[in-house]
Amino acid sequence: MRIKTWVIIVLNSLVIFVVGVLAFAFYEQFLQSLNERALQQLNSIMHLKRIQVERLIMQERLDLTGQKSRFMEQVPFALPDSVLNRTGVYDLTRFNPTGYLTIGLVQADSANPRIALIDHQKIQHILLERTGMGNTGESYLVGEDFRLRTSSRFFPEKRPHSLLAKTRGVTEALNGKSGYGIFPDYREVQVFSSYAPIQIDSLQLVILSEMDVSEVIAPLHAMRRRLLTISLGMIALVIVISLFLANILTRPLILMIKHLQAMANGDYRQPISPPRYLGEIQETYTALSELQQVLSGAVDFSTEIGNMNLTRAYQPLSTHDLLGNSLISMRDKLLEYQQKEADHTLTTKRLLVDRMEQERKRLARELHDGIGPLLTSLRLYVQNHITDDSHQADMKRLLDETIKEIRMMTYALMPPSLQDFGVGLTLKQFATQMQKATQLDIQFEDLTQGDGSRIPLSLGVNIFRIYQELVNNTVRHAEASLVRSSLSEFEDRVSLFYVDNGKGFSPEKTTFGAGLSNIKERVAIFNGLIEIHSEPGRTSFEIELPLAPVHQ
Amino acid sequence: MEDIRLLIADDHELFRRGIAELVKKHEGLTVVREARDGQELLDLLNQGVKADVILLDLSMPRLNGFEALEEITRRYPEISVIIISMHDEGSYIAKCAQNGADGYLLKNTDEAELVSAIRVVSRGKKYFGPEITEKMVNAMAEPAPYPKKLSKKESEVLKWLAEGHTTKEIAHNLFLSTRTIETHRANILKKLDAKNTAELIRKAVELGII
Repeated sequence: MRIKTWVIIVLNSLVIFVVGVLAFAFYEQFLQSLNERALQQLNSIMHLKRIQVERLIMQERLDLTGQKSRFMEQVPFALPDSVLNRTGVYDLTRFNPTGYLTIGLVQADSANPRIALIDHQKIQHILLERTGMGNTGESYLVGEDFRLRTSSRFFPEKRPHSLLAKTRGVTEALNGKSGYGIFPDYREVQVFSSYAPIQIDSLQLVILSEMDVSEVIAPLHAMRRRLLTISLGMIALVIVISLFLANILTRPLILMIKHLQAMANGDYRQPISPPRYLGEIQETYTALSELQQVLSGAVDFSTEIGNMNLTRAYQPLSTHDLLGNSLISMRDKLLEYQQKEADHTLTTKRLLVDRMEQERKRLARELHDGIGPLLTSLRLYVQNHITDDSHQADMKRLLDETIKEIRMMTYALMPPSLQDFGVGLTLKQFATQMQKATQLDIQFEDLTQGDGSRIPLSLGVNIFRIYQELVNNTVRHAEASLVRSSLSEFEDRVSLFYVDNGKGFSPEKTTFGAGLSNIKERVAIFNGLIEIHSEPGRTSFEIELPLAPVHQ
Repeated sequence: MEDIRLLIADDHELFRRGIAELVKKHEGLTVVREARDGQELLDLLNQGVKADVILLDLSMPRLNGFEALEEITRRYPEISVIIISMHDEGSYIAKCAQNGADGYLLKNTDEAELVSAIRVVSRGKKYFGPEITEKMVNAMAEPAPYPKKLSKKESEVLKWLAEGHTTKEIAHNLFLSTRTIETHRANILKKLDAKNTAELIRKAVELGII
């Protein structure tokens, strides 16, 4: 289920439940107290009326006994003997054709019973006092025959006697009980009712104070409406709040899903900005950001490895960093492989160069020691046996040219002095020779150890070739007039220094063909170092080549 | 006047024969014996073969010309040696001269020069032609430095250091790399048993080197 739905459902259920329970409880309580209040009120009104009515009747009776004049001479309607033969108070309404409440006082102590009637208006007056009874409250009297004795509020024109009130309250009260309750009245309308019997002598009446339930609970309806409105309002508010909340909760999550998807697709570079609030989510983002950094670190690292940049260091995050550790081991393997390959390449190159130099040496020797002596012998032969002078001179000149050529070829292949006198002297002679052959002021300072030199022939040959290349470069490209150079021999290395005053070049962009790369390769073969500084007027080469340690 | 007795040492028979033939044409020159290599030459001398001048090749099997020359100079100082070689590089000439050769000729030397050289050295003089001399002088090796003593270059560096120049300045002025100067400086420190440049200069002054 989506968080938004979930939040809305949970929050709203909670709110609806709370509001419902509260509203119900309030309603019930309100209803109950309303009922109680209404009944109490009615009860007290009813009691008051009852007392008033009883007192009125008692007073009337008392008054009548003393004032004979008030007895009627003639009763306007017929009365049975059972009434006339006994002194007492009677409800005579059923005998009165008008139907109004007729309470009669009978004095039967003489031959002629005397009768007085209580003015029904007086009683009606008491009952009509309806203060605190609202629009539907009324107090009325009911007789033993369940018929009303006083007028109804609702049917003022009808004669009370015509209305039948066979209600629970009347029944109870006729059984001598007083009490209150909610039940339908004579109109079959639910009312709050308080009832009590009124018994004086033979007079049997029921007094009831009643009020319509509908009026009493009218405020309750209003309250129920208000409660409903408030509840709906709250629910609406809660929906809005929960939407807002859900949004706050889900937005960073949705964003995080995007980030994770991007990362799953291999993009580790998108910026991750954690939200400003919500601690845990912030922490999650921080963790995500760290993960991203770590992964992109690993990715960078693997990119570097992919580019064969194997010097890059990488710190595994922990011993469980499988990716990091396997990348590291991959790098190490590649390094090892690269090293092996480099070693192999170097060895191969060295072997090639060695073989080439060996071959040159062999060729030089063949020329010098094989062809050379033959030519010189031939020359001697010519001197000895060719008697024609001009002929002899021609042949000798040709032979001398050939011998010179042989010498040059020998020298080009491998200067014999390299082997016999070492590289220091060879370079010095070479410099001298070049100075003669060109317009260059070229000087070489031999700072090797002479006879005690520890430069092996292979290295010497290498240095000679490098030097040749350097001079070649100067002569061909530098437009220089001056060269200063030296070869210094130390315990652990030899240092070749070469500087000319030429126009210079950019060491990054080789401007003189294969020359520079040849030099660099030869330096590399012997595990040497080369530093080139070039500016117009001064180009210097510093080359260092290691010497094998002294074996004691 | 007795003939000048010649010994020829060369590994090529044709050449030996040619020289012998050439020499024969001149009065007062006799080729006593020929040797195929240095060892055979020394054997002959050891056997008591007498000679005034030896024509010695440098590149030979068994015992080469340099080694034979040293032996002869040491044991038979009265015999003059002319080196006759294909090598025209100065260092060869210089080395031979230093080792006591009395002359140096290239194998394609003309008859006249050869004969006159033989005659010159037989009188106890040296013979080095003008071209040969020039090459020799150019190639004169600087004497190897004595251990523990400062080499020429080291002394030079020390002098510059004492004058307060930086390594870079010295390198620039002496046409050497800065690393080379650094190494020289380190070597000087080692040789003079000094810990830093200040101490080095103090010691050098004490020792009278600068």
